[in-house]
Amino acid sequence: MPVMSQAVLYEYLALGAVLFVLGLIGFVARRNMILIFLSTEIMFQGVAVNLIAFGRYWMNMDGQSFVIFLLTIAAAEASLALGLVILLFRRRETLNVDVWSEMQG
Amino acid sequence: MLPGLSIMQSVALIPLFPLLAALIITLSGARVLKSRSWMPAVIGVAISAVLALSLLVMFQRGQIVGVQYLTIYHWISSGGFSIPIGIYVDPLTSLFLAFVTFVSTLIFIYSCGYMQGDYGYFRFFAYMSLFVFFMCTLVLADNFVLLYLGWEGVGLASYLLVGYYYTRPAAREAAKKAFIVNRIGDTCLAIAIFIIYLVFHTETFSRIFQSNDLKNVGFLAAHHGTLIWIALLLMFGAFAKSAQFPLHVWLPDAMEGPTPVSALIHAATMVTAGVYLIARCMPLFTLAMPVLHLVGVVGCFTAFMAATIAMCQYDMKRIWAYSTVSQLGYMFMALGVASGTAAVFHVFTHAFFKALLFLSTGSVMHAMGGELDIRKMSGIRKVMPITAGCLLIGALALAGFPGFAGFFSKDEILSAAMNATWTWGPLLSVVGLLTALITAYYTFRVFFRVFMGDLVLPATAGMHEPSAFVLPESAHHEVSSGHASPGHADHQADGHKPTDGSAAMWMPLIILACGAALVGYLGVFGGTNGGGWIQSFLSPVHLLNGAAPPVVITPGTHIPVQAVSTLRVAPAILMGVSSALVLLGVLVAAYFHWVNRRAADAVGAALVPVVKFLENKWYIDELYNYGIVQPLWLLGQALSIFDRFVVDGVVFVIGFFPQFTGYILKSTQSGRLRYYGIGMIAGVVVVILGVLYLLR
Repeated sequence: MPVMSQAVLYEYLALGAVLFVLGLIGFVARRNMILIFLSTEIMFQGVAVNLIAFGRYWMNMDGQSFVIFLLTIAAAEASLALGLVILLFRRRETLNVDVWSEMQG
Repeated sequence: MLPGLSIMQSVALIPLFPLLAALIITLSGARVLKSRSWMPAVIGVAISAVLALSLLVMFQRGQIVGVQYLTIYHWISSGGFSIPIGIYVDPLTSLFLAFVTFVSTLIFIYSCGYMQGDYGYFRFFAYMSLFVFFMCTLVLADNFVLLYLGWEGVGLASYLLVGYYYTRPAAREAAKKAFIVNRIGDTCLAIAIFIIYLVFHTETFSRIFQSNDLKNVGFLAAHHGTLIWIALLLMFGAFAKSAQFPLHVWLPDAMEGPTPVSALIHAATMVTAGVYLIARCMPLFTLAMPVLHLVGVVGCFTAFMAATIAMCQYDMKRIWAYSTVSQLGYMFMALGVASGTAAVFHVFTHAFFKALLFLSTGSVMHAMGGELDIRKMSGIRKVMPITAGCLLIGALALAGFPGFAGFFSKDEILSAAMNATWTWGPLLSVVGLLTALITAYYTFRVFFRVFMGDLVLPATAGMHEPSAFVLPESAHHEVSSGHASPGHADHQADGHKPTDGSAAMWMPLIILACGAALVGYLGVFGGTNGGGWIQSFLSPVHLLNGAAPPVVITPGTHIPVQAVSTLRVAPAILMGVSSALVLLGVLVAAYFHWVNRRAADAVGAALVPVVKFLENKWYIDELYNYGIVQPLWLLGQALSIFDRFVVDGVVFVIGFFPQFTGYILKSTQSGRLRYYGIGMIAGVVVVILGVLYLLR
């Protein structure tokens, strides 16, 4: 397998950063709980791209194995988070996250 | 004495019987024993009395000689510092043990009748037994720390018993006063004990008093100032416990306790603990002669002052209280001229006649429904003949009437002072003689007022003493339903004729009266060398009558000085003079308070300022109030203002800062998820930028 050049690595890193920042913006700007949740998933993928890119660049499997763990945990967390979203939805009949703001100073 | 135990082991058990009684009564008094609570107390203290008297007999027979020690176990042990629980038995201890337990037994029996039907009957006997335990510990202790335990313990028992009627505000105040005034003395005693350890590296009596250091002129010269301080502090300890000026103020107020308590603790036994302390520490006091002289002067002054106050009081118990202060003054006077024997002899006779006087007064109080004002009763010998006879004997003994107990012991003191080597001894003796005149007057003033003349009874006569307890409704039912004292409720309803009371009350009176009449002869007859029994009995006590202290001029000189040597006035002449004075006092009292009572009022009216001065007890309480209590109160007020504005202000400022910060920061807690998200991102960005900046 040909060695990855630094320039290519930068492209991958830029992709990861873009994904992460998109997720971040979505997380902050969205009100729909499911979309907020999706945004966090996108941030995850940004990080995962980074890990794989670095793994490839240094020619070892650590990055990829990390990502496999990451995806597994993300799946578990997704099931949990969606369960919570459903619970919250049943309480207020809305997905708008702003209705859950009792905890304030 | 007890089967299977050595003599010393049996002696060590003496304090434990009353302690056991106190425990039994405490645990089962309220539920099981109830009105039988006197049983363990009387039995416990009677066993102790039998043991103590047999110890006395053994000393007399020579089965025990000199000083005996027994270490029971090590109480405190830390490095080189070791305090054993041990007993130190010599004739002085034996005499104190004997009269303490004997008089206690009689007073306990009296109390069975006197306290009958009282709310908290078992509590009374528990405290009293506890007192006897601590008093025996005090006199048996073989080191200062154990003595201090007993010392504090009797103080505690005194506090509890003075405040026995705790629902009565005066009793609470008196208990607090007794405790606080005693605290001053106790602190001094504690400091003295610390210094003793620093100087002698031990607390054990035998090692201190018989140490070669006390004979070593170099040691004495090096520690001269320290020894003065030890004696001075021990003296203050003794003064507080034994109610000497200026710490005497608690004792008259302590009469708020039940009368048997006044008889036992505040007349016969506890207040003589100070005399015991100085008599025991005489080897130390003889090395600090200025302090010993101060003891004598203060004792003499207290004797005189308290006697004058007693002339113008109207409450019988208060008169006896001031009389106790005055008699204790005599004892300290004797100690001041290094005559421990005379002091201890007076302690011994005083225990009998003063307990007798208090108990007789208790009977009067019992019969008169709690009334004690001598202006409100008269001629009551007609209804209480036994009490009148007993109180007469007690009064004769207290006044020092020739042939009665007080006569011999007081005379011993006056003669010791008169013939002391100390130049001012005779002056003390002369004041003592004057005090004897006053004593005779005030004693018989009470007797003639209350028992002679036409029969006048106070309105409350025959009623039961008004209960000091405002009983909770349920408890009241419990008492009047009769389990505590059948017929008690009837007494209150119809009233009954005032009498001498039950046999439990007048039998002890008669025994004490015999003692008050006869124990004085122990100071004249029965001695081995022509003197009195008490002198020869106490002669083995180490340095009781002062020693030949090496005069410290420069290290190396050693000039022995005899403590009692010059004979200025023969004891017989002194006896004659004091008898004449006592007779004079009795006659004056008889004229003014029996034959012609109007004359007394006329004289009183003519001497209003003096009478006011004496009625107000030399204004010493007022002096304390304006000299100490009020300034302390003002200081307290000032400190309270400081506390409120300065200390509280600082605390407020300190508290305000986090409060204000929280107020500012709470607006960031909006409850909106996205702001938290922004906050997190901003935080991460700041951290990353910070790290990059640091790693640049």
